[in-house]
Amino acid sequence: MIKLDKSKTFLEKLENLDVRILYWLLVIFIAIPFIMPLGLPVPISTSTINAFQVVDSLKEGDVIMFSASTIASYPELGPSQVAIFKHCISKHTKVIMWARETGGEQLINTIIDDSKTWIENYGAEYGVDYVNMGFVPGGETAVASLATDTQNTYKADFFGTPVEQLPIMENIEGAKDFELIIFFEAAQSFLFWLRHWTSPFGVKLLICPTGMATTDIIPYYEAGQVAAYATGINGGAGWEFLLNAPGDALIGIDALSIAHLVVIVFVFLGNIIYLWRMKG
Amino acid sequence: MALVRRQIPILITALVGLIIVYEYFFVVSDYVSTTVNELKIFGTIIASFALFLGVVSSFRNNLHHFQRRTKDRWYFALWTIIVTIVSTAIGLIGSPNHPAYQWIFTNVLRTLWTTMVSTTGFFIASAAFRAFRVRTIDSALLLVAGLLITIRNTPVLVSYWGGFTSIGNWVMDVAASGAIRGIILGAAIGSIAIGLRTILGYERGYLGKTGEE
Repeated sequence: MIKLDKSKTFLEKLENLDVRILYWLLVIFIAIPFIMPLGLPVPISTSTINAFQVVDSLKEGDVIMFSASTIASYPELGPSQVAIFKHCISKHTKVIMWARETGGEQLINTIIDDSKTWIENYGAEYGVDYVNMGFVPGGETAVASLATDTQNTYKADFFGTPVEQLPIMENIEGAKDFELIIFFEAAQSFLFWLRHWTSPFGVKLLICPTGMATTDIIPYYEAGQVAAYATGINGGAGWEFLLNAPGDALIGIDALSIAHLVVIVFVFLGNIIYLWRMKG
Repeated sequence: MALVRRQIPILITALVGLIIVYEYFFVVSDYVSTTVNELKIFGTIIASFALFLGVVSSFRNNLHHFQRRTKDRWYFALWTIIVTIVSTAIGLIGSPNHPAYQWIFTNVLRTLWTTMVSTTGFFIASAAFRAFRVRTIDSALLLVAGLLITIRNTPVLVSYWGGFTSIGNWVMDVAASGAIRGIILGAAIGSIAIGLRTILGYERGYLGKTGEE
């Protein structure tokens, strides 16, 4: 039960507004675009266009290391993963998917399931054009080990098929056989790839971070160590638009706009009330 | 005992550390290269075992709280035990690709994670109204920078005036990047120091309690 103290002034009441009212306002505003799509404009950032071009310039048969996100960052990075996987399939590249953290191997199955139509349309085949290599523990050690001895680090795919029986893995020994790493994550673990794949072997690194993690990447991008980046749900929406494959990111972009607008209004409102009270 | 608990582990750490660093920075023979590859694979095997150890440790800890009926905790402990047993059993009997395992993953684990992450949005909304205030010059600067970045990431605003992107990008690429570069350099120097201390045997936290401290 939400109670307002009648002895307080209106401004005091507003300043100490029950937090549940704010929560409900946010829920209602975020829900509106999902019930009634608003069709707000979707600007595509230069970084997303650059990242899109990196994948678009791949040649048929190029091998890609697709490092899936964790479950925690999937709500934000899921749409980009699906869109980029579709893009890779459409370019007839070889996509080796793996998870650096537990649960990621199941997410890869979700990404593959969500891209089924594209897989069928482009005639891609499991084990030949793409593969789910599951989860390999060890963090940076695992990334380093994959760089020098991919076959022995993986041993088998997620379904237990030995590496020797997977045609996609036939000529892959290590990082030198890869053209591009596509890394989806919220944390600084992109540095593992930078240290063990990009610096020693020159493999290009494309990062899809959550919005929060973008600041960590920019210095490496400006230094030329990171080839490109596409941030969070904004990057996903841009990718879906450029690929002409509408998905969850384009649906969610209205909600993102509204949620940010609500936060901006809350900041202004909170400060106006605060300054007013200080003046009084 | 000091030999087994302290000196041998320190010696192994020093040797492994030196070989790995040497192989990374210098052109080495095939023999050294193969040894380093093997060591890296050892690393992933040890990490797998550590995961298993984590599950056993968590199980034991929760069993302890359940058996002692720890106040306000035992029912969570019981739930954790049930979930651990059920998911492990399904994973072992039917493989992680079993429909039941997939169902748990999609409808329980993923949904719970999504919910947990989404709650951050509510805290941000609450903080935006109650805490993000112009109290001092420092907080005013933080507020302005935060607002510019929020606006830069609001598609509808950016599409109406491209200037928001330019201003937001300046904050990200110049102001924030400069600060991050400082942090990166500081952390890198710290990592080198920690690495050297570990290889030289001065850093012993990873040995746990050796009984001699």
